[in-house]
Amino acid sequence: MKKFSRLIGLCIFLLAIWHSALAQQRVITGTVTSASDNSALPGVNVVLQGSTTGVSTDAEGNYSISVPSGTVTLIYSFIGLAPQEITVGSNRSVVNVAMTESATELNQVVVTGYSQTQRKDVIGSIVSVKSEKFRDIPVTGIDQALQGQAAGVQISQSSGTPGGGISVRIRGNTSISASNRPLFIVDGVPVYDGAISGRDFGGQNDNALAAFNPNDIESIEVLKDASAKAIYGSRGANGVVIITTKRGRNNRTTITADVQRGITDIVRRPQVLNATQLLELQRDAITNADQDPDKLGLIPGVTDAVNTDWIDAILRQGVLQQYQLSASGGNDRTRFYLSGNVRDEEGVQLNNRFTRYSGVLNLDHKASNKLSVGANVNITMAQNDRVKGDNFLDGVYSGAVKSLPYYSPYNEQGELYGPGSANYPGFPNFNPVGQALLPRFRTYGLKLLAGVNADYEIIRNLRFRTKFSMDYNNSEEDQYEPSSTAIGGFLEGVGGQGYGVYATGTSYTLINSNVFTYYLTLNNKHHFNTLLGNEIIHTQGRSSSVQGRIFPSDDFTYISSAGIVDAGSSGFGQNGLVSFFGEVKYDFDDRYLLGFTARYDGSSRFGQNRRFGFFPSLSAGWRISQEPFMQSLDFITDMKLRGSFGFTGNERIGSFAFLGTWASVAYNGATGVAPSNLSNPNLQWERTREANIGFDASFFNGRLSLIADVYSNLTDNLLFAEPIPLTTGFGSIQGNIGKISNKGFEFTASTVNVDRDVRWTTDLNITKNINEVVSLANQDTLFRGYEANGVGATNAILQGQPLGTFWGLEFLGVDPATGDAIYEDVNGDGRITPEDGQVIGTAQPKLFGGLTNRVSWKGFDLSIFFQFMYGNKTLNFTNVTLVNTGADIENNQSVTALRRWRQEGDVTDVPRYELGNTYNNFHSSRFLEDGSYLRLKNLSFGYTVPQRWVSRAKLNTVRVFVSGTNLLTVTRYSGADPEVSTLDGSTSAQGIDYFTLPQVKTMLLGATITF
Amino acid sequence: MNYRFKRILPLSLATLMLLTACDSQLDLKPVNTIDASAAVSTSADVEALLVGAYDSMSDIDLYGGNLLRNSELIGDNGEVFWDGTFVEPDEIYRKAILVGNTNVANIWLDAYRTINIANTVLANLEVVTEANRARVEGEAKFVRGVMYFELVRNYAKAWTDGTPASNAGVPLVLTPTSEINDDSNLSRATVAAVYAQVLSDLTDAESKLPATNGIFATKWAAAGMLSRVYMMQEKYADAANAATRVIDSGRFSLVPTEEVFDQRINQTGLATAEDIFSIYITDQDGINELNTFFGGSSFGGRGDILIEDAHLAMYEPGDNRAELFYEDNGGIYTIKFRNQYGNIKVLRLAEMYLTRAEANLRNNSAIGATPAEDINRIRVRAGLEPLAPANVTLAAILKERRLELAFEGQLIHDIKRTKGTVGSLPYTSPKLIFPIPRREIDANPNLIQNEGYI
Repeated sequence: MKKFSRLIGLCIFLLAIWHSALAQQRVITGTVTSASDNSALPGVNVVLQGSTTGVSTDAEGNYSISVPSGTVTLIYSFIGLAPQEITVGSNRSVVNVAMTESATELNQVVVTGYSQTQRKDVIGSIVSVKSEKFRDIPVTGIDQALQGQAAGVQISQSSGTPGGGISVRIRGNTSISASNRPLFIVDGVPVYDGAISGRDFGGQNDNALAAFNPNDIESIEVLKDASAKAIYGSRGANGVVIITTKRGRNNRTTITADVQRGITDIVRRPQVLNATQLLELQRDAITNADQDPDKLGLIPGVTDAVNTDWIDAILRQGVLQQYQLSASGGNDRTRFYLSGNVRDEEGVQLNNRFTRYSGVLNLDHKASNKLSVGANVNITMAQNDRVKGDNFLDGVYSGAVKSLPYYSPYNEQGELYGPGSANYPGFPNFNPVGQALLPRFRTYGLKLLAGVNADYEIIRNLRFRTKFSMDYNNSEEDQYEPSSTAIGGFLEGVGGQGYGVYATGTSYTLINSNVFTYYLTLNNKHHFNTLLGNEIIHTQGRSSSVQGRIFPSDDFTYISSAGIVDAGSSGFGQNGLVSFFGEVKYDFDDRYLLGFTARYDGSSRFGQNRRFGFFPSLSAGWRISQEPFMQSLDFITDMKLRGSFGFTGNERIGSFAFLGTWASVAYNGATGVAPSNLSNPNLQWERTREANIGFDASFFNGRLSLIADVYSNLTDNLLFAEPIPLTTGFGSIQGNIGKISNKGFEFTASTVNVDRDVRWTTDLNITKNINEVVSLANQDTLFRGYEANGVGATNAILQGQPLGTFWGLEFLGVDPATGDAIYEDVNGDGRITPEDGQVIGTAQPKLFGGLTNRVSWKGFDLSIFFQFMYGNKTLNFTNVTLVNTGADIENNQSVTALRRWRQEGDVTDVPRYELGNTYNNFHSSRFLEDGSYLRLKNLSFGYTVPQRWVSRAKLNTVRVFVSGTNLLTVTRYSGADPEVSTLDGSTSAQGIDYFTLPQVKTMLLGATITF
Repeated sequence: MNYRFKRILPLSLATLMLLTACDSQLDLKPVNTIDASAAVSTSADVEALLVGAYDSMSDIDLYGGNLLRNSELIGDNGEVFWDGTFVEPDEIYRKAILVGNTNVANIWLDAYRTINIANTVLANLEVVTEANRARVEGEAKFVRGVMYFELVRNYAKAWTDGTPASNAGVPLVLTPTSEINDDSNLSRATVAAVYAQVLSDLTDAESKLPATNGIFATKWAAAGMLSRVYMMQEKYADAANAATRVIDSGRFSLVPTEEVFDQRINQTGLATAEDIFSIYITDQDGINELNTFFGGSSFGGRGDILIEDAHLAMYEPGDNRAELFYEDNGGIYTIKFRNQYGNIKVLRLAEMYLTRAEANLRNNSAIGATPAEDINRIRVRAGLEPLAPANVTLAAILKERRLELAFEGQLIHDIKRTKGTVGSLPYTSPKLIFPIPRREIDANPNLIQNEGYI
């Protein structure tokens, strides 16, 4: 209760600073309307300049204000509209005002934590991305929509799988063990992100954010520094993404139809050998191993009589379609937004498809001058037909890339070869076409995001807002692999005779937030914006899974028909967060800005000793352009210097990590218990100390605007499994040890290059982030990623290095005399052992960003959007198999193998091939490549049909467009696509290409029609 | 201002009350685990913990398979071929183990994890009902004794190598861990001290365990394990006596060769009359890690360990054990671990006969039976002619032992106690001893690494 008394104190303070109005002499009345559609504007602030007197307009836009006699000046302001100052003579008593929307960025609304403000008053580092920026890009989810659009936000798609995982990092990676994903807030509700089904399918997860239709989004705000994020306290360390959905406006009803239809194709296909080339290579490798290729049955003219292009066999041209109908409108009391959307994405892999149905209803109602209520309901159903990917032995794309071309998918009758047929490729290739077509891997998703809110103005400028919301996510995974597949039939040890899994996962969150806001102006110079609130969040997860084997025939595909039903499980988990937060923003004369924000969080994830955490931040801004001495420099529209310092946390460390626990175990049908975790009552949040200095400037009436930020963040108390002597019976104890720093620079420039009949604008953003593990609990190299041949693992976490560091032998080249690989002998012991492993590169880019050019002329508009990464390495782990120097002859090889060393004197970078020789294929920098790329992410060209034509058809506006994504990629990476990550979501092992499906390129036609 | 405050106050108070009511929502309890502080309060709790000890012992790193597999790999001299991609077993097979070998670290961890559970059981014996107390104590001591035996013979010099009283063994932990403090950094006890603890635990276990105990440890399992310990210590009379107690119990009998091992496919493991102590695997629970490595890929395994001609050539014509192999994907595999869900036999009767034959021969005694009688029981079952007593030499017994118990995890320990060699390596070679895991040396400054490892 001690905590509450503090809060009460603050409450009383806020009330005390309110004081009563001045003497009254006369009354001015009037109506405020919108200049665009003449509708009444409720809630507009009308303030007498130089006083604290003020009122706001009622539901009909009417106001009445008492002012002293004589000439006075009234200030009319409303968020998102240009403020007006009107001087009223002593004998005028009716003043009607028409307000226009803000022309400049400065007055645009920016949604911050639990409130909103105008761009000019923002002290924190916040990027706004309006929906126009991604309207022509056929993105699946909101995370994808942000790619390349905002400085400091690094987004990469883990693969070209529809509805698949996407990595989102804001200002770098802050954690080794806890989540690095930002907090996503939709209309004030923290939503579940990441995978729901919990089944990664060989590296590629599903993605809860793909269940959210980006076409319903009005704007996205990304909060990046402590002053912006501290209001989210223990969940803010990885940044916050605030999504605001479209809501109705006070105007006539508009109905909008969006139609998009297009085709998709893989950006680039991996280049592998044909049957004859491979046969020659394999015979070469076998001969080099002093064996006879004929004896192994590799005979020219026989073995290569069949030449199947497996990649071609499993890929197709996909079809993408999206249809949306939405309606919005309202009157001065009730406003609504309603939309329905169908998206159907046929993947480029056979049998791969993502279908989504979503609907939104947003309602706002003004019950009285003081009370307004609202609701939002968002329902999505998705069906994801997945295919096995990446690191699955029997994956489809992965299988096709490595499968020997000597086999065919179909026999003469057009039937798929399956286990039991002599022509079935068998282990480890199976039949990738069969692996795509025969199994059923269907994920059904359901997302409900709904909330109600009420807003009450207790006294003028003191408002209370309460909101109850829920975010419900459900997935059902329906898997069946018939006996004609690898798992269902060929590998008897796994399936035997058909193999099925049915798994469900549910995650839901209930949230209640209550916020008081108070706005106060003193002497028209001192402006206070205060906020005080609390929030209660309860999250629950439930899951179940069961497996069935031995089905009577392939006609029976559900587990009720299985002969053996096993691996049944169910689970339940929950966590809670109770928080209090407050914010005071002060500005003097729009010139000097100060802010203090804090959140006090209590989380069930920590023990009694460390249950509560306090996350404060301080910020200050100076609008230099408002200074009198700057007024003569009228080319400067706005100029602001801002700085912030504060703390945020990361509580996403999993539940009950602090508790000493015993887990249940089973032994031959008997159940028992065993200790599983040693307690650490002092376990606490990871904490990030953030400092930011930013500079905003706008010149020539907004023709040129610049935003620059430098930041230095240090995360300490890293959650880390601290090694303890194993003789205790435990491997580790969860502790808070270690530090990671992220330092960086962000730059955004927007220009209006030409502003005549032709309008040409450019947006550029560039980010540099330097990530470093500053200290760790143990000095040992922590290996991550994949186990690597001859050298431990592909990735390592090391003090002084960034997360995502690649580990391996240093490949020095191929000895022209012997054709063998030369590796650096780090310890100089004359042999190459795992002890010679070293850091060979990092997946962290040196720079990344985006560049968008837009040109419009009359009804035509053209947008060209490039996105780039520079200075990062991509591990072409695929080549460990595809350029394997003869380690085995079970896999096809890349065309790179044609460059191999063949005879003395050959100077090349590919060692000689010798069957069974693994030395030349040790994991080394041979597989590490420059992953930099510049990608034409989107090119779109639209035409808005002139009004005079469309009005004849009783339409309002008609726009048609063509749009292409990923049309062009400039890279030196030799694999199919540098923008992939097989371990989707991994921080310490990012940027690995291991048979990962490349991105797809899309060409589509679309139309938007409003009625 | 006053009247306005009155309007706000109730609202504020209501909010605060709502908040205090919700503070309880931070005190959530886990559902898939239980709070350790409240875990042991009844006899049933302790018995559940005992099941946990067996489960821990059945882990893939221990008797789930890897401990046994590693004995065969490190002791191998050309009878098998490691064809797998995993680096850790490959290092063991090549006798070039690195201190960071995670497999070696996991065996250490899981053995001590099992010991910690056994210690927790032993510390809570007073909660156990009078009727069950002796059995529970016996089982916990069996588990602890067995784990220390495996630790000391894998991570320290053999009893027959130098002076056990001064050679470093492994740390002895005899009480449960509830928190981490300076006392957690133990030093290594001597080999002799660890053996003394093993003997004390197993002897105690034998006396307290019942003659039958379902699938769990019995008096005979303890006696069988004791015979192994005595053999390691070259205490042949004790070994022969221990083996005799098992044989004379009358509860076990030899079964036909083809029935010794579970040759069915993908079915829950079955026990035979020959089994003294096994790790039970079912299609629901447990992993037969010997199947993973010794089993062909058609039978749920990885097909990593191929049987070489050098082994197959050792069988005499007519030996029906030479039939216990099969071909899969072009390689030869042992049939012993073909069933993915077959039990793992830790102790079986045939070993007792072989042990007693060897012990009696070395001891020049005939405790229970003569060496010829014992060895011929095994030979006859294998379809071979009995050996004349004059031909029952140590070499003959050891060869019979190798063939009978091939791939079952005895190899390196038999080599060490018989002072043999592995290729060019003498039985005392540091390469035949596991390193203390590097992470353990890092975590505990009091530990000293084995010779030959840095």
